[in-house]
Amino acid sequence: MSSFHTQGAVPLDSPAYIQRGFEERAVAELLNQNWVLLLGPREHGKSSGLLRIKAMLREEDLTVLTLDLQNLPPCSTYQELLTWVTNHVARELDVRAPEIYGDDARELTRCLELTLPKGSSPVVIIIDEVANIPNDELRNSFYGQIRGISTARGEAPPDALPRRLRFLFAGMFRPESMVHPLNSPFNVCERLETEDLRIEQIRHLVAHILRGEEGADLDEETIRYIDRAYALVGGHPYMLQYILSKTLQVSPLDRDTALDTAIDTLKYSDMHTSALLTRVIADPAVSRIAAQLATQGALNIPPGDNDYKHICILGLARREGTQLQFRNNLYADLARSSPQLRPEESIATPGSLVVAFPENAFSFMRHPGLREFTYAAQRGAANAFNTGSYRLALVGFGSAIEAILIDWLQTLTPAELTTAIRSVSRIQFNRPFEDAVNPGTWRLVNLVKVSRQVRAPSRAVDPPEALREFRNTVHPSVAVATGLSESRLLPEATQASGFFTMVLRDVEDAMT
Amino acid sequence: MRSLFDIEEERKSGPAKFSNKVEEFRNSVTPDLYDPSDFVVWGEVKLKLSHYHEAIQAAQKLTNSKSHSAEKLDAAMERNPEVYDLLCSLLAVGNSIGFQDGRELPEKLPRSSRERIRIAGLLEDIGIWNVLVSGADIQSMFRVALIAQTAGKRRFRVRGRFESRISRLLNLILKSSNDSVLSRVGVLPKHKFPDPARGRVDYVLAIDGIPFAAIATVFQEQSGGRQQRDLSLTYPALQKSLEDNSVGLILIADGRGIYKSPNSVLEDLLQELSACMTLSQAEAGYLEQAIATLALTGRRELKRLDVPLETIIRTTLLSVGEVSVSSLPATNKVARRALAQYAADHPELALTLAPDGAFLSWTRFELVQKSVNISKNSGNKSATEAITVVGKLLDAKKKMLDLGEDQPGVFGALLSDIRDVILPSRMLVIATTEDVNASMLRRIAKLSTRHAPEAKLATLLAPTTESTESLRRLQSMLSAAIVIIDHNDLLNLTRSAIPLRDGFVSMILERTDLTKVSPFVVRGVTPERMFFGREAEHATLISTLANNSVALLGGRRIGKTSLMQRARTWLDEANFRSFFADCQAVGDWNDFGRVARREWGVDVPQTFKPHFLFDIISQLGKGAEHPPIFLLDEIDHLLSWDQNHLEHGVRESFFRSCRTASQDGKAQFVFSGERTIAQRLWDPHSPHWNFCRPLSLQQLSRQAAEQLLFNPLQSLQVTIDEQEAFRAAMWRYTGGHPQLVQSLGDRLVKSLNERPKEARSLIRLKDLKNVAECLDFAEHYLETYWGQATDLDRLVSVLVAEGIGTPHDITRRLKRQGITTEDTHMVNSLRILELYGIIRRDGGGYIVNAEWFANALSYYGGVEQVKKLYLEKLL
Repeated sequence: MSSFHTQGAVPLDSPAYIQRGFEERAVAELLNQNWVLLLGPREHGKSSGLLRIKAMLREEDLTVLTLDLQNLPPCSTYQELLTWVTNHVARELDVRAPEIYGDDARELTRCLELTLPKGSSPVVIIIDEVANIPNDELRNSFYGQIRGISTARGEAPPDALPRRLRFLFAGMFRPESMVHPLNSPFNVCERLETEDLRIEQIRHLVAHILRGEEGADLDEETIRYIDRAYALVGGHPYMLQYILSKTLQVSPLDRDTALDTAIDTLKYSDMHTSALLTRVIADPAVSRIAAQLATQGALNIPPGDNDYKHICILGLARREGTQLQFRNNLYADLARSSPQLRPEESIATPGSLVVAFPENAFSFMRHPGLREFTYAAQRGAANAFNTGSYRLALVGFGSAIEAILIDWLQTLTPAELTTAIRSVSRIQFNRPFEDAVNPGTWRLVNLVKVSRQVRAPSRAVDPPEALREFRNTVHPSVAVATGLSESRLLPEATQASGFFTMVLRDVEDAMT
Repeated sequence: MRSLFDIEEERKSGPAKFSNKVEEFRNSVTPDLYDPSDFVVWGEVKLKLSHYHEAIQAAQKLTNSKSHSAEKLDAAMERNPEVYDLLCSLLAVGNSIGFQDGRELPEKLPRSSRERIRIAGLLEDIGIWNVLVSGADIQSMFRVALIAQTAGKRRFRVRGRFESRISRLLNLILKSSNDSVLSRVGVLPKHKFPDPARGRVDYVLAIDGIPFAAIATVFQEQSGGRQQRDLSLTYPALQKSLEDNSVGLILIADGRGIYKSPNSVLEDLLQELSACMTLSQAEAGYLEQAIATLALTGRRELKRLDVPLETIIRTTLLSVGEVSVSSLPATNKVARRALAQYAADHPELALTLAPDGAFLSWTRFELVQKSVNISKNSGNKSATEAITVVGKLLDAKKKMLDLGEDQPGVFGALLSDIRDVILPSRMLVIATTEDVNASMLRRIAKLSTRHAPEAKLATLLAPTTESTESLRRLQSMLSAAIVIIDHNDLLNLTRSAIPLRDGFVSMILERTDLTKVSPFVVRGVTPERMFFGREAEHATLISTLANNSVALLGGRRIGKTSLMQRARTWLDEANFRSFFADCQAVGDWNDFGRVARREWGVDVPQTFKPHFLFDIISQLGKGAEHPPIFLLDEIDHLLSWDQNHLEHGVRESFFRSCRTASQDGKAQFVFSGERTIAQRLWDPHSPHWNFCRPLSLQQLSRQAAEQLLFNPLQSLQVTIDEQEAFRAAMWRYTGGHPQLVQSLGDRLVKSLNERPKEARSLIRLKDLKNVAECLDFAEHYLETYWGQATDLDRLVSVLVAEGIGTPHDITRRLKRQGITTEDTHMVNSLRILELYGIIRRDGGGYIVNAEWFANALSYYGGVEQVKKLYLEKLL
């Protein structure tokens, strides 16, 4: 009997695989000498699809190479990046990597010319995880040179490399901002997106896995569970298979419990949902759309708007004509109960999921130590929240807010700082411990008071009054004095995560 | 029922009897064709009343107000410009009207407040308050005005009714007739009308493609000098001209004007034309009789060939390939005439008649004979011969390929030097003696990849084919589409009068995956074969570059790179030496140095400094008559870098070096870019950019846009129906944006690909509408036109679409919505939108230039909704 695949790419020889529409479309485009941009959410079948695309193209006698940029080591120069590409291509072709020097070593076209087999046969290069070149300059050069290959196709003779090469770019990224728009090879690609599975495909897959044959009949109870899973997560391949693997492969008596457990796991402790939410909250424009969507249920899409496109690529939402909707009910529930997406609404439900912001969300902070502290504190707070340690979550979010305020105030000029201090009606510095010109020495009360008086270009930063309470729960005696048990601190912890999101947003806007 | 024969007989029998016929004709005239049901088109009136509901209320308010003034009129029109349209209707003002004192009532209310106040004053002087008197019911008055406005269209409805009755009648006669002659009659398309008939008759009827009768129609609602002249001179003269082409004229004439015509005019008409009748006579059977008579015994005196002779000629041609007079069992004169008649009766065949008429043979005699031999034998020799025929058919060079011993019964050749819009320059041709199946097609596609990797098309020649739907569907998953041609097809191709290439492409059209042969380029650089128009840009470039540089500005996908690449050819032709560099990946000076070393072979250091540009110029300019011209494509990126880096404390040193070289006459430059370069050129603080003449690359002219869509489709042997309406619609959907034109073309080809083979050769207006009037194209339209436009630019364009056209009004409207913009930003936004071709200047403000812009927005809920969405984004 085959099994559900919930980890990694589904092997080529696995019979438990549903061919996806994007695979044939990608192959047809590449055979038609077009370039392809394949976008799709995490765990949505891209890797399995790429394996099959590669196999289908090889069936047609095309040379196909894969550059998975997830394996790219840190590179400090463009030459290093191209050397890795050259070596990788040579390894895939099972040839010796050429020694390349001078200008040639900084030209992708030359590196490929010297590595690929001579002749005029077409070569397809699949670049997976396109976004994995962290250095802006190297990324722009790499994709800029690939764009140059596309431009050269128009005039190059039939046997020249630009006419031989076809690219497929895959990943989950913003094509419009990954590289400078004028240098982007993604503009000249046929854009494809991975699609959800349809209900009949899922039934077909389940029949294959459970009965071991195509077209086998499913009993009514199995169909009922498939339908329940589908109603919750739609046609998402990973989440569906996760739920069905946990539900259908246990005794019929335990299935309801197994289904509930699987859904809870997906919602609150699975990497898939937390990674998705992290990406959403880390992108302010997308986060704003998600919050509006959570409130309104559906949104009108402005024509050609990239933020709306990106929220679909991330997977949280999907497009229906000119309207945006949540991709499935599970995502809708998560977003609606997220205090980070809707901080102003102070949502407090035991089912809320709080995710940590990624490290690059704090790149606007100037002080490396404070940046590291903030990232670690909020990450710890998020973990504490999701495991029910609300007191620790309060401390974590409170301290993270404090660090952001210190970092921000330290960037002000002495004149700006003095003006802000003078605007506070009553302020007292506890000398010699507090130094009026060094916010790093200030007590929290003063940080909050002065922050509110700093003139910000867009809107004032307004740290919450309750911040001190949050932070002070670190003291056992203060914590005990509140008289609240751990579980009853959920509303405060929820509020703290929301406040943190607001302060992060507002200070970042003020500093950038 | 009387037949035309009776009329002919009676005409011959004497003037008395003939005058009876005139009376009969006159008495059958229908005075008019009005129908009470559409005399007034109430639906249209109601729709307009509903559309102008707010304007009616505003005008009603004016009527009810106690005081009357031009200011009140002005205020009402400012609030709702449709009030002006309504007032004009009440005053029976149709188009714009000029007054002797220089004032004017324009067709559309201008946006400038000064102009509007002048108009309000003029309306007052005309006496608008005599209309808007207290107690007047504006809605009722407007309804009457609308009825009057639409009355002019009644004549067109009558004419339309008249024409459609004739069209239906003719259709009925030709489709349902059991008559052996009439069943062979067809209506010629307009482009095949004989010259004298063009634009003067409504239908030309033909048998086997040979015209024999023309039908003209006339409905005269009144009698006058012009009408009499038409009846007594125009139609008889037309009859004479048509007679020279052996075509008879049938006139269907009706209406009050005909009834009032003098007897003498009608008598002449009935005598001189082949047939003349009223509509009711035509419907009573006269038309059918007239057609039958002309077809059988008419002026052309069609004389069918003697059947045995025709049969002998046909069979001899098919078997021997040629027929001589001496081989026919008839006198020399009859035989010659028979050969000539056969050639004339078969214009679909490529036949050549000897100058003395003694000999008739296939025009491509040799190829036909080869094809005959191929079709008779199905062995290896036939297979290789078939390849030779295809090579000759496409006028290509042929190189036989060794496919190895593992492919028995399969032969291949590579055809090269094919020069065509649709066909690849190199193409694999395979001939087989086996039956065609899916695995064979896969093998051929792989062979094509190996031998002609750039070709998306290969040809398979087989003894017989039954091209199934599954084989056709398989083609999209092959690296090359495969056109399967059997030996009979070859024979038909070589015998056909259709040019060989066109016949071959017709088979591609019917049998392959059209997405692979689509000539439209929707992504990337447009190749030379698809380059149309841009004559003005060509002239400007050549004339400017003699002593100045050029900055080519344009929006996304407007064709900057394609033009740059064409410019190289133009410059070569004008004896300039040009050096092209794609600067897309040039992000700094070192990158530029590297490109210069690689592309132009110059020797410059790895660490490139802007002043090294002079070394490049000196190396490349050595011994040349003219200074070198550098074509630097997509320089926005380099320009941004240059602006932010210093050399010897100076910003923009690279482009300053370009300026010095240009002004010293050492070199000239053509730069292309979008926002960054445009803003540098428009920036009053960067006067050093004055060495460049800006050349805005905007949408194509209508003629070039039509060529870009029509020529490739025609090359693909696709016919476009309703051409005029089709052209107009294409222009509306694209505004001449080359990318949108190509995108429409590609979508049309894809839609053809979805059809069965027999339905692939015709595209109608409705097909164009299907691919254009949908959300997908609307989104593509907006994304293409907006290009790199910011959210503010987009909002500004939507405001202009709403009718707010001056920078001042736009700024004020934005401010009212909470968005403050600096004047310079607003001016830049408007200039960028103008550069993109979305808006254009109109007096002191701007109006929308892209005609379909508002329609595209309507797919997103319309101007109001999109404005709201962008306001939300910007706030």
